[in-house]
Amino acid sequence: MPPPEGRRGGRGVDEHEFDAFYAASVGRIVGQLYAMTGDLSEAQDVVQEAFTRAWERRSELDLNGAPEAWVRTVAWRLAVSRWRKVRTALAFARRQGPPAAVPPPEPHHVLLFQALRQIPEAQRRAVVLHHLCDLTVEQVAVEADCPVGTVKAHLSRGRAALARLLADTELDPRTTNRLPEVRHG
Amino acid sequence: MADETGLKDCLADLAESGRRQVVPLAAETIRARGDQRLRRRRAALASGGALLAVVLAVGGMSLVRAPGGGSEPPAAGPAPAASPFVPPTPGPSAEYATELGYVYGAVVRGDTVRVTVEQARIAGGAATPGGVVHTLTLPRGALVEVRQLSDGKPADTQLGELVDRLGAGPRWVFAIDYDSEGRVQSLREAYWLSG
Repeated sequence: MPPPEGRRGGRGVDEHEFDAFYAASVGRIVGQLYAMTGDLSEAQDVVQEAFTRAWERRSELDLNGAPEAWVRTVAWRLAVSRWRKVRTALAFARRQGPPAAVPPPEPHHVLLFQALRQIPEAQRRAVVLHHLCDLTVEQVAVEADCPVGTVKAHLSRGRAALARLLADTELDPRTTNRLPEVRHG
Repeated sequence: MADETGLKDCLADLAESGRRQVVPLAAETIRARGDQRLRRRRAALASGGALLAVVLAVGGMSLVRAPGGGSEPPAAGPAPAASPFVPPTPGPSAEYATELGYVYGAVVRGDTVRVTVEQARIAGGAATPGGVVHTLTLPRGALVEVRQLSDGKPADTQLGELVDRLGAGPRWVFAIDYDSEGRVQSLREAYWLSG
């Protein structure tokens, strides 16, 4: 999934097309980033920032390509940047005062978050892209910009680690069916 | 719950819970933010030459007023010359003020990176070194928006990872955003001016 800037010649989008794309995908991508980061406010912030950048580059944006993957990739990169987190937090505090209260997550979500946070970022991203976003291993490799073999290793290790971490909890995966890698088409 | 539905459903449930709670900004607001940045970028391009002229004029006046006749010699030894650089100040409705300059000579010092900045002279959409030089010391983890520096792929990378590429002479042009207190808030590769 090369970002639109990386491949010149996108046909560009107008306001109506962008608004439709935004409305159709912002909630879904925030949900995906929420699973990747475990922080809903952070997820919303980085996704909106990614959409802002997409609009800045609208002349190169191609809605027939993979704009959602591009937004997700930009949002992920933003989320893993500590510098940006600090900057955003300070700017947010300056502009708006204390952040709005977000309802606490459900207990079983807390369990999953705790487990996800304990596995390496690359494994967590691969697991979410593959099992939540329904990307094939090959598509995950493109989006994560790494070899297919590496993605398979991340998935295998990530799942094994999650199984260990969730053992004897209500999310104990030992009683779930093993998930094969999704292969579309 | 997850025992029966598996990791996929667990993650989907988690994502859906987030999606239900989220109240995204209106699309118009997102577009307005993007448009504001584009305007800021264009304004920085247009004002780059004007800023340089002001800095040069101020510098020239300082030279004219330099001690020459009649003033007593300093009692103590010469102190290090103060940098003539004054960070640009954001306009009344702007969050940041932008300096366009070549960033080079990067040197790691502990958790920080010291870089040299030579302000760029902009003419005809191209940059040339403008001669006004100052230094900045930033955290190694400072986020830098890059494009040509990452082989054409837009990316956010840490300043510490660019030290090798920014270690030589002036080549890469950056937009440096200063807040109202003169602190660097972001570094963006001015790819539209670089190389």
